Amino acid sequence: MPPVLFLQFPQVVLTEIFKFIEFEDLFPLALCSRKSFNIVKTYQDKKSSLQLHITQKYIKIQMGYVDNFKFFVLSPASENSKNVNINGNRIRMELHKTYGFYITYWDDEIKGIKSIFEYLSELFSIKNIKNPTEITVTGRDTVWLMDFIEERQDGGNYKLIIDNCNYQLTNYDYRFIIEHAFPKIIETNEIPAGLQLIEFRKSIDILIIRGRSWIEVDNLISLNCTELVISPYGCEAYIITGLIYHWMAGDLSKLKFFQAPTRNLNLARFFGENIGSAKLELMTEKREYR
Amino acid sequence: MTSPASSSEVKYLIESSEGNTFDVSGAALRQSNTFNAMFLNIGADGPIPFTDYNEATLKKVFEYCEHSVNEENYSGPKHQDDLSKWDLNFFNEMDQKMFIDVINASNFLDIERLTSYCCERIARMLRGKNTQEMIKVITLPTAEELEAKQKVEEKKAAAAKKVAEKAAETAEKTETLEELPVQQLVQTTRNKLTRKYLSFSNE
Repeated sequence: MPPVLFLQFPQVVLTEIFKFIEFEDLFPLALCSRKSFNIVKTYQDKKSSLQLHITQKYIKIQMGYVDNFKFFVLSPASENSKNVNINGNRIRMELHKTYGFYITYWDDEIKGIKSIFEYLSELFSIKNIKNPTEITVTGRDTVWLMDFIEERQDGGNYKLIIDNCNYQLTNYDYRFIIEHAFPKIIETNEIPAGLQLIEFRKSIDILIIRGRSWIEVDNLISLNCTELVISPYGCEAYIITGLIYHWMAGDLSKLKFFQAPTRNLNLARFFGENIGSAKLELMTEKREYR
Repeated sequence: MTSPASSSEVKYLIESSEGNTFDVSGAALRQSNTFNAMFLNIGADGPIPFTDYNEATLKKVFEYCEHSVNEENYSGPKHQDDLSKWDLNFFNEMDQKMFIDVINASNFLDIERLTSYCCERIARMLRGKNTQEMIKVITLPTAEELEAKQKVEEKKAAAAKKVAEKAAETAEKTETLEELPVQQLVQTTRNKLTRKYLSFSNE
């Protein structure tokens, strides 16, 4: 089939065409020209379930559990064949044929991350999507992401993932992050010993603790979040039961959802003894609080 | 022959942009929502003018409608993999211009099934392609072509500006002449003639 001047079609036809265009094809199509960018921006209708994830090295867009686009940012910039224009920067971009992610080359990696974010934000109207953007902080060199996202998202509507798998963050760094970030959701793979959770003094909605952490009941009670999720290796059973006692006694006034491992805990016995006037209901996926 | 559609045997005359007429069965024509809204109940006294589209395009569109008369009622877009051999041949026979004309005509006539197939076909043409390949598919000008086009446009704009300035200058001169009182105008003309006369006599 010969080429088609499809950007000149009337509105109804364009709307119909975009019903059939795969989400993965929107980005390369938008890169064709400014006009195609505007058309993709106007006609694509898959914004609501998107989620953006930013790290020091890449940005990815997810719909559900699928990574739809992943952009790696490498330096230095390639002087040859600068083949795309992203947010006013002419750069080289390659598509990894096996894994399907994009590799972009920049002089300044931070500028690369920011430019790709701006481009995607405008293309997919990221400000209007309901899922908060996620950023991953892995060390001091990634703390700038917090400032950047807070500035771009008009405040704390984002999820901060503190990933210290490489042990680059000290207790001081943790304290700094907790004091200076204003996210709605925090996910961390650990809570360092000696760190008082009361320092999450801002109103965070959700705290997720993924790894083993040195948490005490008193420490948890000082929290002021709506949801608390502790992973299977997060803490000892007595801490969980202690927290539930306090929760039932009304000490955690804001807490609405608590998820924790129950392998070493006889829930039936526990609730049989302590249920009191509390009402048990089957948990559903959708959680809405008044 | 044209008459209100009540039976599939009824034929309607269609007029194309060239002024040519050809007939289409009522059953085929009724797949067009535009036709249904405009003529189905009241009928048509003469040929139905679809004069924005040429005969070849309209014939192609109604060829599709005639073929899909017996297909089940339209219930949303059908996947391209479900297209029959006839459908595929129908699309493959068209060149670019015809394809675009058919989409536009189908859109105007509001034939959902055909519009939908054509749109899915375009989406398929883009599937899995990178930016450079997509540019080829949708025939977008490259950055160099755009630059060259911009330069030509700038040149044109500069030339047009020059012409406009000249015109404004002339108009200004004319205006100044027109603004002069009649006697002074006569005098100016005379002076010019006198100067011309004097320079002529000096030679």
